[in-house]
Amino acid sequence: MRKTVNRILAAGILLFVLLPGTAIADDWYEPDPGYFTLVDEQGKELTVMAREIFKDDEYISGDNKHYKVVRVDKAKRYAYAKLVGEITLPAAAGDGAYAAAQQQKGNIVLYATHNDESYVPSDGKESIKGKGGILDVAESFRANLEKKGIKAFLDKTSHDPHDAGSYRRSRQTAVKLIKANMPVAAAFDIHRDAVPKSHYVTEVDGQDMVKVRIVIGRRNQNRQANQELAQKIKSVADKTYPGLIKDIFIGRGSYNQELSPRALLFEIGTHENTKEAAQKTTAYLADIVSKAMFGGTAERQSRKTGESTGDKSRIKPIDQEKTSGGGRGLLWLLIVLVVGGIGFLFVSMGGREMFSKVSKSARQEFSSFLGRNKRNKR
Amino acid sequence: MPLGLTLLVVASILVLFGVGQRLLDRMRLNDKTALLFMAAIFIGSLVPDISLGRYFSINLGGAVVPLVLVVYLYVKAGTREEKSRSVWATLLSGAAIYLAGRLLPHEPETMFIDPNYVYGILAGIIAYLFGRSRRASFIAGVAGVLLADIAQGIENTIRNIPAPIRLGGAGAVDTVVISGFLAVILAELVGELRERLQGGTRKKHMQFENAEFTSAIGADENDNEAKERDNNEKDRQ
Repeated sequence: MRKTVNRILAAGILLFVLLPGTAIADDWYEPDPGYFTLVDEQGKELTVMAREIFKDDEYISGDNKHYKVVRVDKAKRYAYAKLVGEITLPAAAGDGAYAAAQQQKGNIVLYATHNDESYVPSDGKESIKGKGGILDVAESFRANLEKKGIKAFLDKTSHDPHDAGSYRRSRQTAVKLIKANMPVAAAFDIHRDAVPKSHYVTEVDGQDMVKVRIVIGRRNQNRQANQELAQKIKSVADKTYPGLIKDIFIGRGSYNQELSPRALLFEIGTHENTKEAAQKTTAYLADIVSKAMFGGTAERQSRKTGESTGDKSRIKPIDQEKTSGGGRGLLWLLIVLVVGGIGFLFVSMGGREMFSKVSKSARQEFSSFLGRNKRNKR
Repeated sequence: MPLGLTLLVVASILVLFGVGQRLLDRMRLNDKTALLFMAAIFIGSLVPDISLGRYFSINLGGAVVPLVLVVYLYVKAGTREEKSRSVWATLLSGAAIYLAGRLLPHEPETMFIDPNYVYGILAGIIAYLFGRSRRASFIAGVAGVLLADIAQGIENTIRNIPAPIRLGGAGAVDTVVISGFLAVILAELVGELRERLQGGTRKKHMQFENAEFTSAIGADENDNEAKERDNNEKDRQ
């Protein structure tokens, strides 16, 4: 009995030590800057975001500069990034390159992990349990994708409460959606940010719109494939509605993106933008996504008047682009397996025993290839 | 989808299947049974959830099959002590996972480890503190997540939160399954490290049979005798 009590105490202490130390909110609404500011080496502000930034996170700015976070000042909520290069976005393709893909459009599935997220000017508050304004925005996005001839499905299942278990619960929604709507071309998790609205305000066709940030998880095998899709979407946006796709953030976490190599998280505006502006934005976002995934014609439009500037180019569907996401993902899996396997064998056997067992088993497995049987016969 | 991405999806599934099979194989299951259980988890994942009321449902591959495995491992537990340890570890894991959901930050990037893996690690540590066995770890990992989900469902009902509870809803990739596997990996790693540090297992005089230590080779010794001999050995050292 005493042993059991001791164990319960030990487990309790462990929880006490582990949990509160990492308890940091993600959706900050305080007037005091409750968000992280990302600056470059010269101290120039790159962006702000209502999510914690960590060393090694990556950021692709609106002008396609690629930064890597090198230092984080947690107390001041400042992160310092080093410029690592410029991203070359996929180029436009020749005529007719997308014809086949247009006929085989896969389905697009949508869900909202934090479906309480709302837009204060339109919804009255930043969070409404079970039926946040974000669901209306996701519904507009779905309808606009349908207008582009894409079969889109939105699951409005609530993942409340908005806590650390939300992604665990939304994972079930994502799997259910993928299972029920095969073939799935992409799975998008719809969010809104929680930073001052000035960072997300833009104008398209002379109308007030919100910008969109794409978030990618770097802790999974699909990271490269998802980044390629994000970059393709940004390249189409840069050609058609410049500035609408604000930037790309590649952060720690997986955001359930290990479930598909075509999974992204969109932050559509912020809690201070109007829901109506976010809904209007989805019409343009749907156009961009449709062209990036299935091809089309990019026609640059004037931001002020909304009229065509006459600058036209053909867009290649993402599946016809030369990509390396699949290969890199496979390599990632292989490395994790090999390193994990060797690490485990080393811990359980020690270096010498491990080497002896591995070489003995390799000799047995490949004896016929190595000519062992022949030698035995002699 | 291009061939490269299709291969990536297939490889990801195969890795989970393979690792899962190897882990089950280490817990009173032979190669074929472990393979069958993994197949049941994957095939069960494809079947629609079974409804258990307005806000509750359960998935065959993500919860029912792992639960069958948990019950099997519990029934087959060697001693009463092991059974009681498994129960304690499960209850505490459930509480820890429920609390982790509340206290940990909301966004995956703010955690030291992804939320899908943190529960398995918590269950693994707790189960190891109690049982120091792979089986207890698996039981605590799987049943702990399910208990935490049920607790969440009760809270939702009390607080009138209209959110469904889908036990094991993501099937083979649900936190229930991943947590069980991670807890076993952790128990195995911590156990092996501890064994190496203390210079071999304390059960080295015993025979390993059907994935558990039985009596000493060639003799029917009871536990007390073995412990006495261990103590004598320690005294001599």
